[in-house]
Amino acid sequence: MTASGEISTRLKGDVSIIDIRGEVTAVSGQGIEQAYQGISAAGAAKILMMFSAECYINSGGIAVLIGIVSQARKKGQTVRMAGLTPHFQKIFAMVGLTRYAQVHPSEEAALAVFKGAG
Amino acid sequence: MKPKARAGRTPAKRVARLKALYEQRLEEAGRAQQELEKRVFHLKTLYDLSREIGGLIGTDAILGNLLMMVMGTFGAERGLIVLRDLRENRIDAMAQRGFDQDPASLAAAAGEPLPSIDFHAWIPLEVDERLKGGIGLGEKLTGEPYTPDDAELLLTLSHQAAVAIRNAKAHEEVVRTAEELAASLRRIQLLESMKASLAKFVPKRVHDLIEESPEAPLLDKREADVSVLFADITGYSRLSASMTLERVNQLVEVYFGAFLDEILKLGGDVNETAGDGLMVIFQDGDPRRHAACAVRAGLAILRKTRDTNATLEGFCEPITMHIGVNSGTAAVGATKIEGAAGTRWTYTASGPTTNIAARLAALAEGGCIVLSEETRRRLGEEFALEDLGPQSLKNLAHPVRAFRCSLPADP
Repeated sequence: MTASGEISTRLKGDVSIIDIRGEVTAVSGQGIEQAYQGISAAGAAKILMMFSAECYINSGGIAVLIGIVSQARKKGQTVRMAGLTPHFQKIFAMVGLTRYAQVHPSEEAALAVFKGAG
Repeated sequence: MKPKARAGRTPAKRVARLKALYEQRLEEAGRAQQELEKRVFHLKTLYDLSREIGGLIGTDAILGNLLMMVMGTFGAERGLIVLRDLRENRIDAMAQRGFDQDPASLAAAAGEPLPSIDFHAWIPLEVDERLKGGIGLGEKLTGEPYTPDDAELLLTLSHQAAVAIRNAKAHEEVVRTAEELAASLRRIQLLESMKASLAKFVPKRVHDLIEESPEAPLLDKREADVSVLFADITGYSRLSASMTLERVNQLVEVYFGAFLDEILKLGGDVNETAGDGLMVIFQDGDPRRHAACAVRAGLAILRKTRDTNATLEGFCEPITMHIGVNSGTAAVGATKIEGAAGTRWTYTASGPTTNIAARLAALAEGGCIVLSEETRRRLGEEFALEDLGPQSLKNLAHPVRAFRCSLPADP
C-alpha cells in the first residue's frame, strides 16, 4: 500500500484501488492523478476509486476525475467509483462522469461487479 | 344537477387519469429538484472559484484553476483559456487540458482572436483594454449542448476570473516596482559609499560643483578671486630622519586631522596635501571675507598645532607650522592631464597668486603666518599685523611687501 497525504493505493485481487479522503480540488486532486499514473504504469486494468464518506469534491476536483476517466478510456482501463454520498452521485451523474465510470454503493459491490465482468 | 364533464367517467378512468397526473407532477418535481441541485452546484462553483483564485497571485495559476473549475462544472473533457496581449500582439497566458495537439500548434491556434478550434462553447474573457481572450470548452460528457444558462454561468465565472487577474497583475506590478526600487536603492547605497570614499580625495568645491550639476559639472578653469593658504611643517626633513616613515605619516595625520575641521568651518577647500604641506583655497562672493577666513584658518592651524603639541608632549618632539597667505585672481578649475592610458584631473588654483602664497609660506618662520599686501588690504582691524616691508621672493622679479601675523601668546 502506498500513501501520499489523503490519497493511498492498494491492490485487491486484480483491482487497483485508489482510496480518496478529504477535499478533492484542482490542487489536491494532483495526488489522485499521480496515484492513477502510478497504478497505470504498474499495469492496472481495473481501477476502483474509493471515496470516503466525508469526502468533499468541488468542480476542480471533478475536472481531475474527468481527466483520469478520459485517459482510462483511451488506455482501455475500466474505472468504477464507490463510497460517494448521494449528493455527489447526483453531481457526477449531472456532469456525465457516471457515463464512463459506474458508481457503486460500496467497495464490495464494486469488486463484485468487477469480478462478475471478468 | 351533476356537471356534464363528470358524466360518463368511471371511477377507474378517474383514478388512471389522477395517477398519470401524479406521475407527471412527480416527474416535473424530479426535474425541478435536479435543476435546483444543478443551480446549487453552480453557486457552489462560484463560491469555490472566488475562494480558490482570490488568494492566487499569478495569472497562470488563476487561469489553471479557472479552467479546472469550468471543466468540472460542465463535465467537459477538453478546455482552453487564452489571454492575449493586444498591445504587444502575443499570448500573455494560456491554460489547456485534454488536447492531444502539441503545445506550439495549440498556442498558434489559440492565439487568433477567435481560436480555430472546434469549441462547443466560447465565452470572452476580458481583463482590461489590453488583455483579452476567452474560455473555450469541448463537448460535454453528457453529450448535451451548452444552454444559455450555461453561457451565463460561464460569463459570470469569466468576470470573476478577470477581477482576480487584474488584482494579480496589480500585485505583480507592485512586486516588480518594489524589486526595482530595492535594486535602485542598492545601487544608490553603492554610489553613496563610492561617493563617501571618493569625497575623501576630492576638494569640497569639486564635490559641490558635481552635486550642483551632475551631468556637466562646471569644472573648467576660470578666473576667480581667491585667497590661497600654504601651510608647511617646519623642519619636516629633520623630523623624517628622526623616526620611521610610518610614524611620521601617523604624526602628520594627527596634526592635519586637527586642522581639517577648522579649515572646513571657515570655508576652505583643501586642494592638496604633499607630505609636509597643505594647500587650501578660499572662495567667497566677498573678497574681504575669504581673505579674512584664510588668515583665521592660518591662526587656527597654529592654535591646533600648539594644542596638539601639548597633548603629545613626552611622546614626540613638538612641531611648528609656517604659513603663507595671498589673495588675488587665479585660474581655478580642473587641470587635465590626458594620456593614452587614461585621464587624471586635479582641481586647483594656479597662477601668480598661488606661487606668491607658496613663497610667503617659505619666508615664514615657524609659528607664524606671512601674508601679502593684497591680503592685508582686504583685512579689517581684526588681526595684529607686523609689516615686514618688501621681500624678495624666489623666481619673482619684484619684491612683495609682506606682513606677519602671529598667534597671540597664551593668557
